[in-house]
Amino acid sequence: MLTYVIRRLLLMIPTLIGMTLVLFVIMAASPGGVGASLRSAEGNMRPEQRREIEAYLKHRYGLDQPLYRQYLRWLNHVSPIGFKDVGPGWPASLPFGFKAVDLGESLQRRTSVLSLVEEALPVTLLLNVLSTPLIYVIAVTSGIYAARRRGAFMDMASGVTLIALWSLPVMCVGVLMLGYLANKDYWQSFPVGGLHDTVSDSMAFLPHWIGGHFQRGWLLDTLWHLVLPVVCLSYGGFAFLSKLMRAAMLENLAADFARTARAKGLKENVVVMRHVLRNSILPLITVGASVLPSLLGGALIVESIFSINGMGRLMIDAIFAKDQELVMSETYVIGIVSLLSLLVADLCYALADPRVSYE
Amino acid sequence: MSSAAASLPVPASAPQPPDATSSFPSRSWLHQVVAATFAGLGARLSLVWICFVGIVGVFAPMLANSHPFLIKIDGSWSSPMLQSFTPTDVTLLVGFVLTLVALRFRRISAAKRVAMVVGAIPITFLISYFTLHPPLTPTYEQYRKEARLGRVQWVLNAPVPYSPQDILTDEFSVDRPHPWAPDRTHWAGTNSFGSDITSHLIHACRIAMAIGFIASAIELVIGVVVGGLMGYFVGWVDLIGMRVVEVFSAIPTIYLLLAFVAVYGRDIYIIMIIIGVTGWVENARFVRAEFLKLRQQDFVYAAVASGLPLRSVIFRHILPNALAPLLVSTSFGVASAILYESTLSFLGLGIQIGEASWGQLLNEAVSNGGGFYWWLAIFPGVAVFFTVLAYNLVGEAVRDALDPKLQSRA
Amino acid sequence: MENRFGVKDFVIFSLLVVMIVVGCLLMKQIDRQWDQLRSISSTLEDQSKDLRDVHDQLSRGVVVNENSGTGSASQNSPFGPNDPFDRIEASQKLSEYAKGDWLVTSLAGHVAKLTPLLSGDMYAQDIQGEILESLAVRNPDTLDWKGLLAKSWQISPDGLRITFQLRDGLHFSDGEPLTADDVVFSYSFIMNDKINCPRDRSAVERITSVTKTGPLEVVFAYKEPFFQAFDLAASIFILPKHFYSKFTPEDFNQSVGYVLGSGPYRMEDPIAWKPGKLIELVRNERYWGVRPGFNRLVYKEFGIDKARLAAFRNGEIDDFYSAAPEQYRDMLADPQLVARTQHFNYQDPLWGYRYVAWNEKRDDKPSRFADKRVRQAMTMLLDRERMVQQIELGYAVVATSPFSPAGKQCDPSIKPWPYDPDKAIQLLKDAGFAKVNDQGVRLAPDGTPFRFKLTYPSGSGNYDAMVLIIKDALAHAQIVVDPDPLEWATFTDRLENKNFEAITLGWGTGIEDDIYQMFDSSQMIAGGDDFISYKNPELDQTIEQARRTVADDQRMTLWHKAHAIIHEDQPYTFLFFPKHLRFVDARIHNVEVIKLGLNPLEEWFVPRLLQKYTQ
Repeated sequence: MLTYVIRRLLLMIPTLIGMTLVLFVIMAASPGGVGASLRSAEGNMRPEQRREIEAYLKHRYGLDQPLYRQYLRWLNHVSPIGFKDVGPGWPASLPFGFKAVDLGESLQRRTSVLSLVEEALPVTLLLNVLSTPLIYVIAVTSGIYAARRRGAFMDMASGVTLIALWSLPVMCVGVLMLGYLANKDYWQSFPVGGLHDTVSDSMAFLPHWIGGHFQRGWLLDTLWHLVLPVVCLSYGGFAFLSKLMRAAMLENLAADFARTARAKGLKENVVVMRHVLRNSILPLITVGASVLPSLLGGALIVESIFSINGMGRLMIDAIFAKDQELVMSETYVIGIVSLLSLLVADLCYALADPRVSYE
Repeated sequence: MSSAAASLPVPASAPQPPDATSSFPSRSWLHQVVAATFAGLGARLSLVWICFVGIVGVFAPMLANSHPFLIKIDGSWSSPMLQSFTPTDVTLLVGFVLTLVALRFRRISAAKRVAMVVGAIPITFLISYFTLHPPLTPTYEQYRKEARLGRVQWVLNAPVPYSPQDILTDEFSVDRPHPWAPDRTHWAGTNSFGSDITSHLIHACRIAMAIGFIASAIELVIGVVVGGLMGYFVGWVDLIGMRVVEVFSAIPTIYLLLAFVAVYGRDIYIIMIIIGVTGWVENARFVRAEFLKLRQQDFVYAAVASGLPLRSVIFRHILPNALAPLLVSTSFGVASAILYESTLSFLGLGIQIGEASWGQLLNEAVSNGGGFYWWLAIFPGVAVFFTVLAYNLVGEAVRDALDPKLQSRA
Repeated sequence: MENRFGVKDFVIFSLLVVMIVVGCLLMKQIDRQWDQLRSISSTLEDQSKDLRDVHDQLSRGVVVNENSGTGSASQNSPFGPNDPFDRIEASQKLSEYAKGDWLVTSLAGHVAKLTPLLSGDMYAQDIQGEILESLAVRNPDTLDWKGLLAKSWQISPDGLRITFQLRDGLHFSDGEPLTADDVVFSYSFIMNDKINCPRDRSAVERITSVTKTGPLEVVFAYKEPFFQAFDLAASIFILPKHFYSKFTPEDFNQSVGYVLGSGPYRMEDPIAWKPGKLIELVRNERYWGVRPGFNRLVYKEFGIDKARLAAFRNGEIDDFYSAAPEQYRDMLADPQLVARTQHFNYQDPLWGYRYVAWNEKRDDKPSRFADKRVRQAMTMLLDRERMVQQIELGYAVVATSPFSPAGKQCDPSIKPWPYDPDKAIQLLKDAGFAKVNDQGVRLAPDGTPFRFKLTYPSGSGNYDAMVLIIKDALAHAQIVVDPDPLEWATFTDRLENKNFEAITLGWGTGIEDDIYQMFDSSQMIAGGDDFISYKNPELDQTIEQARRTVADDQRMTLWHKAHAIIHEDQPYTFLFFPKHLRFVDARIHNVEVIKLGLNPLEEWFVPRLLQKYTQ
């Protein structure tokens, strides 16, 4: 098992390099190059001034070097093993060893990428951590339900409903929700966006009553802000997992061990819940790993609509501003998160199914 | 339970010897799958909708056009609509007619029919490119102006007498700024530039179909090639290929799309290509899995032993048996391509102004006005929803038809 | 069968998860309490420091300094005849005046940095304008200069030296005095190469030196006289030397929220702000001038404009500026909203104008637009009044020049070119574009069809509408326009390389604009802003003269002459000057439209009974 884990971790490295290389190539090949983003912030200036500023920024961020050097320099910064004290140049004879990981500095915002990611990652993770169990619970329940009533009207109806949900474009739903549920003209049950209220800093933590007036505490306030985004993020994921669950259940319901259990005289409920369910859940665990990258992607749209400052927003802004450092470092972080979750899913699978071993 | 995937495809033209043991003539595997898929109501309705969208797309310039079909002004007849046809319009019409013909005449072999349709398309396009001279500076409101001046004796308009590029300059009034809610003249209202939504919806069918097919065709081709190579030559090729596949699947697709589109421009064809290039991963995975299973089979050994070239082994022998999961994923692929295009339009990266896609119309629904223009959200939203739903249902039906464990006959 | 993972395990597992979650929440809560405690303790510290100061002063037997203004109703203003707070004092004399309440403003974008000199965007500058101060400011109504930190100044006859005398008793929000040292420091800080502020540095470079000639006197020296010399010196934000000299240049460059100044508002913690955190400014109770009414200024960021509008409709923000015309119109159509808000549309001299620029050179050869008649024809083909109605819904003024009609540079006697398609087609025929081919496209003298690409930045619906109207309008003259939307970075790249046929864009304007940048032929160089390769020697001369003229009236005559030349030449087709559309909550009183737009927020207040936020 340990060798398997180490092998997987080592295999992560070429994948991470591949991911960041792909994005780097796309950004670098863009017309206007990377320097274009620096120009957009400056308004009416004399051309000599603009050239001076460009030259200054190019030198500072090492953009005047050949592309492969820029990439290697970034790679060196983010890897825990590398050349130490490497500046814009490439000195040949410096000590090589373990060093701190430096995610670089965003070109557009001139702050360290680490601080930006620190702010954004917990928000996105929070959204995903709340969505994933929701998706799983609903998918598993509806899958079991559909499998047990196979061929009946409810089976077909739930199947079609889930596919219908899958087909609804996220931004349409998000915008409609904002338009109707967060609008003063219709029902104002939910806030327009963001994660906290204006006065949230001075709120107490838990909900309580003051002078007969209900005060939403900070905790409840945050959860209230999260309802719409989480719903938008998760509704698309039900269909796929539910179908998978249903297919696995159907397969196992007809299997020999289920027949034996029924022959033993166990009630159908017990057969399903205690025996069949456990075996059917296995494919969901493997697939669960790939749910996370798609959630990260979906979070992008949801964060845009609801003005939430998470990794998705950060990425959109970075790509539009051609902020090379930020894009690559963010891809790096997202890649690590995704690949780690894949590894965790595989390990869970091994844990859940004693027949599987990775020796 | 016989696995449908293991039998080789039988050419439809070969005469079928009467089978003593079966009571019905045997059909080719593809034929069986198609029949099983469209046995269900959901899949049938989806097919109807898809065909509807296709037909509307083909006949779009005849259904929604500011140029009337026939008009008599000051005594002289003319057909502005026919004069305004572009090479694309003509090619699509001809292609449609030929396809209908090909479907009817079963006498000629399937391959010949396909070749006829496929061959006729570039020829028609070239001919029309050099012979047609559609006007480049149309003034759409001239016919309405002439009608108001009373110089029109007789006119036959398209059912929706507005082109998508017609911004209704003659109907402008300060007190009634666009967008307009639906009314008798504009059945689905107008957008904020002043063009009629119904005509946009009709012309956008073309874009939706095009995106779906071209993008998934690209995904299919790349996926098959890469997956096939990986599955056949295991070892180093497989190792590197799997890393590439992992790279593309670990980056959330939407990020890749964004990066590409933000960089390479907003031309409709480029977007189609980009969606294709970012979505081939799943296809490659399926093909690889199938190839890994199939390469150990006897018929492959036989083919290799008889000295057939590599491309023949892969494409004529193994690939037809590996098609099953591809059919499913292609159907879903078309649906997701349409969804991705809508998302890109929503994020402001859609195609050019003038000819909108459904996603672009959605983008304008909650425009800066803060006022929610429901007709810009509902009509295109419903169109996208139904089309994506249709493809998803078809995909589901194909998957159910192909899965031996779910077949009712055991 | 071995039960490896039974229900018992699941229950234990979930209990464990719940405990961990609760633990995390507890830690988060304690963190929040810690933040609150910190801010309370720092407020207490400030208060005790103030008490000590007051005790010291009393024990010395000195009368409380008249310059620690409280807005008293004395006859002579303590700030002398050059009182920068006259309008604020007048507002505070109104009967319903009351201190208190918050002003919640919306920002239409993200603020990445608040540290002065490092931040590039205009939102940060607005916020810094409340915290930092400069030597002089313009009276918002008469546009004359009023000394703020400086009480008087003298300009040498040759225009090369300006001497400023600072007021007595100035101090920063932490109590430290503001002297000439801080002014000199501000200048040298900007000029320090290691500080990452190339833009400010290049602007300030025209000042050769800033020297201290007394504890409250400084002299600014210039290389050569130019009309914006005073503007430049008077607008530099004065930074506290004792605060900013503590940081190394690298530290400063990396910082996001180091902002401390002498202005009427301050950040509660001058170093703690981080992007993403709500921006809140509290009133500077130690302010040396007249303290404004609002207790707090809160700035909320909104990435999407729709969310910003929705927040305003819900009452979450008080000031909705820069409304789009459709937003304005829709809000006016809502009677409930109109009842609880006040709306303004006004000509803002800083708001800029929209134009179409015709490139006169393509591939090193004169293009179609090099002929003046073609450009004039283009302008006459566009119904600009209609554009104003259709795109800006009437909230704009047709432009005749790059000078704002609200400013003095614009010659009001010059009327815009009329909308006359027939005359335009006649001009085109005169210029050689007479024939039309079988596809309905007008032909140039050399037989090529008159077809061009109109390039514009994508992503803004406003440009799309305009381009479609232009396309339709020019189609009536048998000219084909191909819309060419480009992403901003690509667009600026094309502009730099002059690789376009025509573009539509906007320029911002100032109170007095220097058009040298855009229309002087010397700026045809690579990367210059005369990207259309326009050249008119008479205009060059006029601009040159105007820039050197320090006397206002003479200079304005020269600008009027430039206006006439540009009007005849039409290097751009000037479209219109959009108006600034703005909504403010009705509970805020004394909001009015003046020359510079809306009066500054220091003059606004909320009567006690209407106050909403009570902290």
